[in-house]
Amino acid sequence: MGERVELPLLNHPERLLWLLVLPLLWLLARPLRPRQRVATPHLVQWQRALARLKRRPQRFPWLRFLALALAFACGALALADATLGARPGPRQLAVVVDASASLAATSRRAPRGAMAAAVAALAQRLAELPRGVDVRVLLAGTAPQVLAGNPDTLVARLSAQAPAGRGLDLAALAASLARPQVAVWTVTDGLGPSAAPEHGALTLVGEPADNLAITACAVEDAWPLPEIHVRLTLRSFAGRALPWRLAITGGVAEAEPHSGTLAAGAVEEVEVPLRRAGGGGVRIALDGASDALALDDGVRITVAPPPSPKIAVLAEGTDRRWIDLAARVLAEELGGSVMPAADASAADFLLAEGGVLGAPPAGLRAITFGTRVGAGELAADDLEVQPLVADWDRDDPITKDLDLSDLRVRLALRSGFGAEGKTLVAGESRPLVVLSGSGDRTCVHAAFRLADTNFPLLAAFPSFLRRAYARSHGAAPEPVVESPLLDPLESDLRAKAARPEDRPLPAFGDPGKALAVPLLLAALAFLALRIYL
Amino acid sequence: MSGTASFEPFPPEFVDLLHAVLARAPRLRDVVVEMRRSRRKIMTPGGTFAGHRAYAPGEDLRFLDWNAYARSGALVLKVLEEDQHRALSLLVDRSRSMATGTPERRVAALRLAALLGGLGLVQLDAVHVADPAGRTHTIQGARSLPRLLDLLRDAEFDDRPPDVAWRKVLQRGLPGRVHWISDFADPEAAVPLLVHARRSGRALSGWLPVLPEDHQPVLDGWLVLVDPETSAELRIQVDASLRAAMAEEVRALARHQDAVFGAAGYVLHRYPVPSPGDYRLASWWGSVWNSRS
Repeated sequence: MGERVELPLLNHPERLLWLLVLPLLWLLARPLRPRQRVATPHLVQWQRALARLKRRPQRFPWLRFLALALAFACGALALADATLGARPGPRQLAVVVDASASLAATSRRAPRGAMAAAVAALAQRLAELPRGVDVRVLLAGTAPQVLAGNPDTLVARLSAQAPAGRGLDLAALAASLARPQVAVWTVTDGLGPSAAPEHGALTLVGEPADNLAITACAVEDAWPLPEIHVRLTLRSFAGRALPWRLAITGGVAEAEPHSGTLAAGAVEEVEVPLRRAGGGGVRIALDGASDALALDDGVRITVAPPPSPKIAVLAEGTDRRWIDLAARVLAEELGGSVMPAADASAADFLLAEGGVLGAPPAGLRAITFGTRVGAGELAADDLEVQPLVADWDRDDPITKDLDLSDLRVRLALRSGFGAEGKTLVAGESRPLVVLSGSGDRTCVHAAFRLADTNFPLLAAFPSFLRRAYARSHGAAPEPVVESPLLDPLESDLRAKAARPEDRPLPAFGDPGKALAVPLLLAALAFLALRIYL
Repeated sequence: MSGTASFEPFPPEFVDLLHAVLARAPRLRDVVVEMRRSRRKIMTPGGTFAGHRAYAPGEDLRFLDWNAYARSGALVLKVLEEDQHRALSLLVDRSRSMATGTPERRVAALRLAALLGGLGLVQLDAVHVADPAGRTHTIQGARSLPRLLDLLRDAEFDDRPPDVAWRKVLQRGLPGRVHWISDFADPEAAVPLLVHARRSGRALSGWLPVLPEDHQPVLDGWLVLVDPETSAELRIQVDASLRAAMAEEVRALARHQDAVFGAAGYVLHRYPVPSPGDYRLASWWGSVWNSRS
């Protein structure tokens, strides 16, 4: 039995319509038809006369036309992209790789992560693909990417990709990519919000696992003060209680350990008070040995560095204990230093008590107590004896929630103790404490010296100092939560339904051996032969 | 296929010419030999019995051998020795190749046949006109000249080879000299008939109406040559060199024709065809006489 003869396939059979030009060529190749027809009994003699002159009668050049027609047919077949040994089937492979954050989960089946297992599966299958299959990889992550190239390049580029964010709807994506000539292969873990596609080839990597996640993070920064208050929301995506412990690193002081146990499916808010150290990046992460997904275990925030002020103290008189104490405490808390009075012009912050302060430099941040600012010599009627505290601003951040009802003042300046400003503490007839300046350049001026009051003895005094200092720097910069928190659906690694079985790739088509070059050579050969016919 | 539609080879001018020729022409050679006998108008058949030949419709019933009919049931004519000398027979080529040339060669052939037949009617006892179908028409008397012309005019084309067309007629026996008028385009086709005529002792003369283009082809340019009998075509570009080569081929053909007739012991007369419209007596009769002599 003979082997079956394999006929060439045409990828563009519509281009064979060019063969319709052949009748036109036939018409053009025909010799002109003589207008005159003459009947003669001597046809044989005419033929002999032609032979005598070694001429040939005019006939249709069949051989030349045949050569031309064959050359044209070869050209048309080449144009129609004739191939030999082609096999029908898809010739393109669209690989949808789930690049959602859940692919970063580790498991017993994928100890280096589901994404690494996906890349390994991809490398193995791509190496087994028939020649000529065009492979495109769609990385279905937060920012979808289309990767193309040879298998080695694709594997290298995929290896460099880190899963992140919430994935796309893989089922819809696979359905939209499906074409008769395109095979769709989805590589996913089958977890997370998107279900595994029902059509096309499918490879599942990874496996369901228990997971703890930080699902929310709120930060309150008291800058320039050192307090930073972090509120974390922990959520359990596990079927059992899991212990947790927070690890805090970065530009904050060592904090108290935070740990606990989260019940199955529970949500817990954890308050984490921190103190600023050097500022900058701060990472707060869950440290749990049984956790499968690390991407949702930590949060990184950036806080402003402490101002580290240089505090200068100007005091008149012998009783300067309170103002010195205030400067020292403030410097220690803020990480700054107390400067000598002689270097006050280089200071960042000024604490003054009594005396006269000439023209204050522009942008000065200061707290003055009984200091005449920009005023002349003290006169007798400039002082007020035992003024009473009538009220204080209960809405201003400096005096809010402070109890100043026990403040007693023996002697106070009637005026000239500071620029006109907002009254923070009011006496019966005139303000006792005012706020001047605006933005991040403000000063607080008190009409009394510390030594003439019981203010340092009040519980509100430290808060007043800190708040006045903070107010002098204006609004605090917003802390930045750098690590985007995952969608809780991505953190949920529990299988929501029975995972489907893997589905193999279909049989790919073979483009076969292209006959364009041999056909074109044959066409040229026929044209060359036609010259000699 | 009829070749007679709107075809008139014998216009009144030619008929007048024919009458003039018959009135003035010298006697045929056979007539001179039998001059004395031919003057006598015989009312009944006479002469030495030479044999029988088959009867053909149209022949004179006076020559039927009724005794032979009574014996065999076949109609045969008695052939008398004198008939051989007082009659002539005409074989006119009816092939389509005769309908070529300028003027058509068959016109000249029919007019030549009319001239020869007319002389026979005037000077001999009978003229026999045979056709390729095997029929023989016997005409007698000068008054039968119109019938002769009708017979010739009504001739239809017949492309059978000469041996096939005329052998049957010759085998049946034709009285007198046989005048075979044709173009003899294929001389070899005439050989079997000539050999047969020679072997049967027939007196035969070949007549070839010669057109001017037989000597020097006049065709020129890009044209299609068609063989009217076979419809074979030949597309050629005719130029001076090809015309010269063709003239050489025509001469070779003439030599071949002469050789064929000479080999059989006969003579081929070349009859120059007068120009169209030329009805002068010298042009027509002079050609006949000169070609015969």
